[in-house]
Amino acid sequence: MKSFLRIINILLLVTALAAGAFCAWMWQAGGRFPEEKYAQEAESLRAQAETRRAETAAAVAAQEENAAALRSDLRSAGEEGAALAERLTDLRAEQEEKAARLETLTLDVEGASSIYERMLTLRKEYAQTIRQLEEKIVAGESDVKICYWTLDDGPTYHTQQFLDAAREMGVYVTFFTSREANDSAYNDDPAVERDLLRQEAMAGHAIQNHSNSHQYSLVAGNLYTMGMDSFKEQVLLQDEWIYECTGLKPDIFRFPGGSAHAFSRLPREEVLAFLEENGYVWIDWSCDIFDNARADQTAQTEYANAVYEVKTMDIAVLLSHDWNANTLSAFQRAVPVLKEAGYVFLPLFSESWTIGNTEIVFS
Amino acid sequence: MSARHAVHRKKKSAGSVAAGLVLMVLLLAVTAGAVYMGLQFRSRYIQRRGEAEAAVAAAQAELEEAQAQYAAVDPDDPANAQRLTDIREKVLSEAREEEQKLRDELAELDAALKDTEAKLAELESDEDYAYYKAIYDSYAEGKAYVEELLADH
Repeated sequence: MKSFLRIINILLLVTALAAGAFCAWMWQAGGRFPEEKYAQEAESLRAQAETRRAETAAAVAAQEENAAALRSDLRSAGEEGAALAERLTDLRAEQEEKAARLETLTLDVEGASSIYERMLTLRKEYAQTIRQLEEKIVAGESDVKICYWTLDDGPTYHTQQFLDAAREMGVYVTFFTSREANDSAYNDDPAVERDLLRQEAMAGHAIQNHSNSHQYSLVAGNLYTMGMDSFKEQVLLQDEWIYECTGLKPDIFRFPGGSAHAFSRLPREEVLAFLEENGYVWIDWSCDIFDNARADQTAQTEYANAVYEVKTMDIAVLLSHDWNANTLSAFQRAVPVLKEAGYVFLPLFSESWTIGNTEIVFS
Repeated sequence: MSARHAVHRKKKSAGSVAAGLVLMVLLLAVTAGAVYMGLQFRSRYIQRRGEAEAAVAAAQAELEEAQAQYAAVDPDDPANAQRLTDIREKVLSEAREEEQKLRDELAELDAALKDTEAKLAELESDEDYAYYKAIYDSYAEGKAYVEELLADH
């Protein structure tokens, strides 16, 4: 038994030594493992991969750049590209130019189609601008003076001459027209009358209502002595005639003979209500050239009257008549003198400050 | 040999066997421990080597992928040069299409211009248009004149 144990123990000792050697060998092998070498190899491979990726990105960028360059500038695509680029540039420029021309033309067509509405709008703006100037003058804030030179009872055979004179002198006047006022004296032609009214409008003068008949005589007149209906008829006939001839609606009525004649025969409130209902304000005048009632007036006296009367006020509404040859002469002489004195000559619209603010002077 | 001496010898022999047994147990334990530790060290070695080799393999795969990506865009590769040519052709083709489109649009513009010019000419030849235009122009001139007066005085 003892010998057996001894042998076993000897064998076990050998085994233990072998196991110890194995353990030591494995421990040592672990310590000698070339981890660093593996890490360096992996790092090297990753660095190569990174370099390749950078090269790939550069190649992609170069490709995209080439494609973008081609798209943005065809000239970089060879001769054909250069020719195409040139043609495209020309075509685009042509398209742009034609599109702009079409836009302008379209606006012109729209403008032409709506010329009437635009003209009416502009007329209102013009009248309001004049009103601003009047208010400045009334407030003493402007040294400008205004003369509204009004010519009653036309159109007549002198109207054309008045129009020519106004154009030559660069002034605007106001025609208080009356279709029948001068029929018996001038045997007017309707077509000529229509043409004269349209000329007045085209030249920028104001065309207002002075009744159709102008008959305010106390005996046979149909304006003030035959009742309201007759008066209304004469106002509306003239209103329609002006509109038919000019396409413009008059908005100021001047009573033939002056408002005092009308209001002494017709109910004032009813007359004013009627005028208002039909879009009218009314006006007399603030100074007179005296070319109607007094037969002894000459061109010289009318000229002197005009200059003297107008110069007494900063905003003057001057009464005259365009059937009077002396008045034409006075007009041609007085306007330059008054212009020299600082007066401007403008058309009279219903927006004018003078409406309701005009000191009436009777001839 | 006396009985007492025989008993003493018997006791001494039993002690020797016990010591041999203890030694055997000790040697067994040492052997088992050494084998266990050796296996542990081996296992850890294998694991570390596997990890290191896997890291190298992953880096290798990464490189191969990068190589493949580069190959797809390599400017020295004729296939890629062809791709650029294709892009050029495509761009030129698009430009030709645009040219045709522009020509078509210009033809439409020409037609529209002709129509609009005709329409404008018709409107402008109208007597009423000329008349109202003349009034408009006169008002415009008058308004400008009054505005000048307002500004200057």
